[in-house]
Amino acid sequence: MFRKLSFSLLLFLFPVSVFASHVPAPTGHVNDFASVLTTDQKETLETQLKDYEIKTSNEIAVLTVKSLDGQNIDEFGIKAFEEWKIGKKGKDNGVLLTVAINDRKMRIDVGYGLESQLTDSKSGDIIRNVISPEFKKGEYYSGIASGILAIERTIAGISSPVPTSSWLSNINKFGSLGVTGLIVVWIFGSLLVYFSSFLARSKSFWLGGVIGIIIGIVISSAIAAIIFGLLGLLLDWLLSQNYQKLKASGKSTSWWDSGGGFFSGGSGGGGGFGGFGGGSSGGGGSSGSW
Amino acid sequence: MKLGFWKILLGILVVVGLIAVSYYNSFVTQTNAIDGQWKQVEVQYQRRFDLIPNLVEATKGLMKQEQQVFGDLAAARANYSGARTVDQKAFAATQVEGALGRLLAIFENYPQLKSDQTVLRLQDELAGTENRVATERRRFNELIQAYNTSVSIFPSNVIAKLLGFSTRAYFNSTSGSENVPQVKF
Repeated sequence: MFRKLSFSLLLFLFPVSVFASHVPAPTGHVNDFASVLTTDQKETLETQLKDYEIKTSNEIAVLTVKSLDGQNIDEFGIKAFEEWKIGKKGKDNGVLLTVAINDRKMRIDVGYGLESQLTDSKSGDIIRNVISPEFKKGEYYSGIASGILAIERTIAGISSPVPTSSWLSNINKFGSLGVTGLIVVWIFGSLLVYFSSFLARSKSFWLGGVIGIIIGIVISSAIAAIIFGLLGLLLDWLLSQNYQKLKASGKSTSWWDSGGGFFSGGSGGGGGFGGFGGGSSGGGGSSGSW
Repeated sequence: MKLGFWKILLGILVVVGLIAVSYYNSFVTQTNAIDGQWKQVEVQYQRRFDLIPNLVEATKGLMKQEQQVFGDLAAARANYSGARTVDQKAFAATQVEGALGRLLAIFENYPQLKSDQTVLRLQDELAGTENRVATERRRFNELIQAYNTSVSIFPSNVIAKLLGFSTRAYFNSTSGSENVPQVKF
């Protein structure tokens, strides 16, 4: 009975989108899901694209699939772009080269920020004149490699790259989880302890609920307001009970202790590919076949 | 610890009021996002219109017997410039889409166009624009869907009704672009 219930709860919590078809998470700049590249070739491309990102902050991704399963490559490309969020947030300087081997179709998707350099007709030229001739010979690696080079050259033709040193870009990527994150957690933690003590001391059992709702409103979502409201209510109730108990048993009710016992810290680190930077595309770019 | 009746009532009123405010804010946020997204769609429409004269210039000479489709294109473009409301704009944009679709279909019958670099590039630009229009319109409809859901489900529908928020219309691309006409020689 309980198991059944928890399973239905699970279904309820995970919306249908989980089951809908979607693009697998990126494993790096080069995502060779069709396995047309050798390990060495993949590594060469990956290193080259990583260096290029460090130098210019532009993010170029490669995606190869065996088949589109009847999907339109235009829709498939933009879907992958939307899920992977290629390019830096705010700069939207991402490019995605999608190749569907069995369909003999390819597409270059361009982020908003690079539309003026890598125009639709220029990406069309690259597909027609650079990549397509190589693919016709069955040379996938040289087609992809020379295509990437042409994309980089086209972008550089007009834009002046913004150089950032490698350690700086690493800090930008992981900083939010590193030192800055620790300081933020520490400040928030301390505030939370004093806040809890205040709730524990206050006579009302409902103040926490109201404060929760206000926090929800600040985050500006009705559902958040209700959830935070209920959480706050629960927290206040627990804390007030705790405080009464501590007082009754003559234990310390200092500001630090009366809110204690409810917090545990935790932070996770990432390994491997950290994902793309959060850029978006409006559907610019070009498609072609070979 | 005695709680007065009035205190409880006041507490409930405050909570209800705060929830209403938060719903109101989320409705306004969503409405603004929808309007902003519609502007994105219009930007892409404008981009498409700016391309048309170039396309017409590059192909007119080679396609002397296709005056009908060029005429349709010009008329649809004039309609869009004259459109004021969102509905009129959407209607005129669909007309343009239909005429452009016909033009691109006719291109297939002119092999000499396919070897012309200028025309190929213009076709890339046009295909890119169509894809952008489709993308921004899909995002518009997704925002509408999210908003319509939130003003229709309980309990937010009660508050939406009280505050005067109602569902909004999707953008439906009417048929026309799909109708590839017969080409007569």
